[in-house]
Amino acid sequence: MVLICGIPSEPPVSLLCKALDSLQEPYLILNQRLFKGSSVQLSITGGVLEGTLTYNHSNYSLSAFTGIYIRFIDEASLPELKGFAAGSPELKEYQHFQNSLIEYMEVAECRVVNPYSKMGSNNSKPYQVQIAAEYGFLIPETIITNNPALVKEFASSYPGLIFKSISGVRSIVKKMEDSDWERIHKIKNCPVQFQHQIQGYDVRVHVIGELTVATRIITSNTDYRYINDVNAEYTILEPFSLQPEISEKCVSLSKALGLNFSGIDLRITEDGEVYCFEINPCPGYSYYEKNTSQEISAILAEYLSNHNNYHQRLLGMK
Amino acid sequence: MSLLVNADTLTASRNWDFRLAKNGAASFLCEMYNGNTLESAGISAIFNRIQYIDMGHWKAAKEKERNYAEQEFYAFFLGWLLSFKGKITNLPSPLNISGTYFQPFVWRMLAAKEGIAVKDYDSTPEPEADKDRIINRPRQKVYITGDVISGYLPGMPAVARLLKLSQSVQCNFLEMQFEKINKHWHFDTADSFPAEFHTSAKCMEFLYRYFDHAIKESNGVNMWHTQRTAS
Repeated sequence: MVLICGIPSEPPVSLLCKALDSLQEPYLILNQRLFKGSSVQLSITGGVLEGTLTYNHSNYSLSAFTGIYIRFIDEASLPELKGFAAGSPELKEYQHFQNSLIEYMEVAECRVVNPYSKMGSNNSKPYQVQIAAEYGFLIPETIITNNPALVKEFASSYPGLIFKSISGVRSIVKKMEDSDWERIHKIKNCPVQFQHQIQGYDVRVHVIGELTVATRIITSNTDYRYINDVNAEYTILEPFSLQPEISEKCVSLSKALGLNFSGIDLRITEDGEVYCFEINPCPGYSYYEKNTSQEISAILAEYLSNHNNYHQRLLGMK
Repeated sequence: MSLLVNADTLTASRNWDFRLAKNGAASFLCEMYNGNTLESAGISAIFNRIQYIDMGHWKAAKEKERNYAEQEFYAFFLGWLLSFKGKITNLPSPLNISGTYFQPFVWRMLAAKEGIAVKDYDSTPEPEADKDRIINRPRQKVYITGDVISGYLPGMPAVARLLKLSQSVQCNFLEMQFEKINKHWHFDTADSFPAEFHTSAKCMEFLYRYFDHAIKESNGVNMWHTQRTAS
């Protein structure tokens, strides 16, 4: 049985449920909004772990799950917790429940997508890309600085310059425009990340265990996720056949980060150079699947349920 | 030469220049307000005790902007410290700038997986806090510094297993806490930010050797005192 933790109507969660239905694999969906009365009991006795999930008046042994998928939204966005002050019993109850579940996932023997401790790398792009470089990917030339003169010097050596947050917050990629140069002096109090703009096309690679699904993205914009139809901006997604060695590098990189499921953003240049921009540890894969009909949720469902199809795919039999 | 810097000084630096080349090669230059500079070529070792970023010069900003800046600096320091190729205790982890961080339950299970005898755990209703206060069993802290172990007592789990645990979480500087239950030492928890390591002569000796006696003379202050971490 697979344990799915999240909000059922959220597209990545609902797609996974449908895929498990198609496989006729059992699953339990733990609706984050219905946490009231739920609990996770954990014990270690003589070095042996035991865990029980209580949800919707039923008890489940945690060791019975073959896989766990978690896609919780931030507790601050949960309507059920709105208005409760920090330290209130309601908030404490939720936090104790969530933290126990997260702690279990750190040490669970089953397939976990993904352990929380491994998802933090996405909070620092320079941290992530250095690991990507260790696994053979090129990364954009980068400067992080609070000195406007250095930005100008960095920009002068290359035709295009972009800037984006260093962390995962406000993570929108923008091209440096005249209006940005006018306010460049504002960086003096907090370093900003600037990168040379790499020309080429984007490829999103979803890594599921040892398998990859690649999607090519053709866009009119600097950041393909944010388009405005009114301005005739566009983003087209299509299945992409990834070279085996790039696929292997993606799997190795995902493993190195401790991620069983990841979304790796690549840009491939005209010369065939492969740049890695970032690795998403909780990919909203539904956007890609809905636009390409690629089988991401199906493979994820097979992986989490340890279904024979997954092993057949690994052997190239499916 | 050695230099003692804290998060306040670093975040308020006059000039930060951190670069990554397309092959991942990194370089940095930081010019601080007190005139000191940090340069990648000039630093051979980092004793990393940054745990929390408190940015004095952002105190007057709106909360939303201050929080954003704090996250940006946190992300920046993770990337900057990871780029350092010399001696460093500890490498940053996304969970904590000065090394990895787990709750005791996770530490115990990680230890159990390495074959280390661990203290029992029960998450209901409140993890054993009251019970422990009453029992007051003998406790012992063990410090792992690289491949040297200090504070180790007879009857504790095999040294090789303890070293393997510290390696598995990529900490070359780690405090492990043990409790004696029924005459046997049991692993309780660990901390990648040891607070009282200066009380262990062996641990200090290793650190002095590791950093070539440089840090203890830092700025004329005894930086081993834990109060330095709060300054």
